Amino acid sequence: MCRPFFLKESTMKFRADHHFVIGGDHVTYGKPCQDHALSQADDGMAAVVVSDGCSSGGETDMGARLTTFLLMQTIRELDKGNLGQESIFASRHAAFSAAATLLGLRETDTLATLLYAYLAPSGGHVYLQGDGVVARELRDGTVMLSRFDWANNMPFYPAYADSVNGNSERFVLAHGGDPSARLFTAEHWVRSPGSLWTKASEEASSLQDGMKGVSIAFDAAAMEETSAVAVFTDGVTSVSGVDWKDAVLRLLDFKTTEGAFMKRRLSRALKEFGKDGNGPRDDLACAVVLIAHDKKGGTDECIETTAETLA
Amino acid sequence: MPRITTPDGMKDHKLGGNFTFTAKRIEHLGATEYTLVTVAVDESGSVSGFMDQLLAMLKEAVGSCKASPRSDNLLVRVLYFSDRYRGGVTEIHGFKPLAEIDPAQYPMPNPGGWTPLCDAVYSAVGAMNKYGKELYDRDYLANGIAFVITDGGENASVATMPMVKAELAKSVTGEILESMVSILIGVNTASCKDHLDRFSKEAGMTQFIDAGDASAKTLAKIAKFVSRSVSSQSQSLGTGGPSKQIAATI
Repeated sequence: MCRPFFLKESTMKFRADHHFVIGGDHVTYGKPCQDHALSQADDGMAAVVVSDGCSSGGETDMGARLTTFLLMQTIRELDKGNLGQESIFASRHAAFSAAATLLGLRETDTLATLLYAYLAPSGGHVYLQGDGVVARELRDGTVMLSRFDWANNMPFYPAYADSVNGNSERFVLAHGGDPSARLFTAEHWVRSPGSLWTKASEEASSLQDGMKGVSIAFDAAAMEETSAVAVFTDGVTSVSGVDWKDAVLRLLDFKTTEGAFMKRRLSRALKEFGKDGNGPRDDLACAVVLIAHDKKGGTDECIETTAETLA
Repeated sequence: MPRITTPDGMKDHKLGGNFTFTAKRIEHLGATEYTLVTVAVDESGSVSGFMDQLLAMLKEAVGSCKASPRSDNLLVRVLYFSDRYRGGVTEIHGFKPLAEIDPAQYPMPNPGGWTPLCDAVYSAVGAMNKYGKELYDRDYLANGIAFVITDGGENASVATMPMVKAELAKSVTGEILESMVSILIGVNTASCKDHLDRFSKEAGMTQFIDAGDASAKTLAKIAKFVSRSVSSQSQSLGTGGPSKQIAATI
């Protein structure tokens, strides 16, 4: 389809990749890698997901994988075009329960966090249930980070919400029994090119609010100014000798963006951390969507698709 | 503004001494790690008696690499060398993925001129060092293996032995390429076998192999040796050292 020269619009091209590695403590104590990540991208949308299996649960490496695979499958099965968080989460919930039953997983096997980003040119969202880090990079180079933690490293897992056995109540009891206790924290940081990190805000939410999960919405305008969205399990905050914010920055410092670019970056970063005897103590999973914006216009140019800056 | 690229996504690179090479644009490479492979084939006048077999060997060697479980992680460069060429070498193709190579299109050697062995080794190893450094700087893991196949000793190079030694020394430090194997293969070299052995030792090449006569059978063995060694070296990538499975004889 060709458009007249006066209609300028931006085309967005998505690339996505992911990788996950076992943490030092898991090697030491003979545990498997219980983090997992997946990604997908095409011309119309991109989705990335990470999941962190509970280290004191059951076979939660399976739970983490079930979480990531089902999330991606859910998104593929639903119609594209700025899917809402509610529709994705509701479909995922039904599929998760059925799949866990089919595989004979116990509830303790399914304890794994969920953190995903779904992005389309017209908008998207990030959703978290559990803990982890979300990074957003703007086209001007500004990086914004949000880190979500639960007190005593006891996150609320989606499986608790899925459970019919009163696990939500037990979760509250494990945290002291007061659902209004502010034990779910978030801190937000900003770093402009050439400047230092600045804490933009921090807040503590109640257990009952935290259990609902966190949703961060992106409208079309936000998508226009975004160049990357990345999600990380909390392993990114466990890199010894490296501030977690700098660890995130290092992992987003892509030299090339073809193919397995996240894997290349994480592999090299781990080597560089390792030269100083550092590395992630916990498993680490990360997944990123890169958004290339290309302004086009002209009578003889065929526009490929997407977010129109002129209505 | 149109982007200026060579049609197949290759990029020109310069080495010292006016040597050049081409290689796949790194931004087009999707894997995490690559083995750089160079096959340099003598095209001096003395190979005229077996140029058909030489071409068949080259086609078989590169073509067989496609069966390697590591075929997606190989970037292959092929050279002919003779002092008829500026800088002693002509690049049949630069470093590119196997999927983009059709060995059936390799041109028949056109034998003539003298043997610029230093030029061949310098171009082969220097290009691997240069491209390997670029790969390293962009987060790719890389190692290399080079085969220089000749029927005669050095007698016409622009590059000097110190240049060759410096590049070979640089290639095995582990700072650019994780590991590097360089193999000089002599064919029909009854009269200069010792000379080639000394050349490989002085230059610092990994090994010299005297393959014997230039029969079709010998050259077929060389082809198998090349493809097996490439696969083995590629499988060693990530171990921190070169393959220990490469045979000492053909």
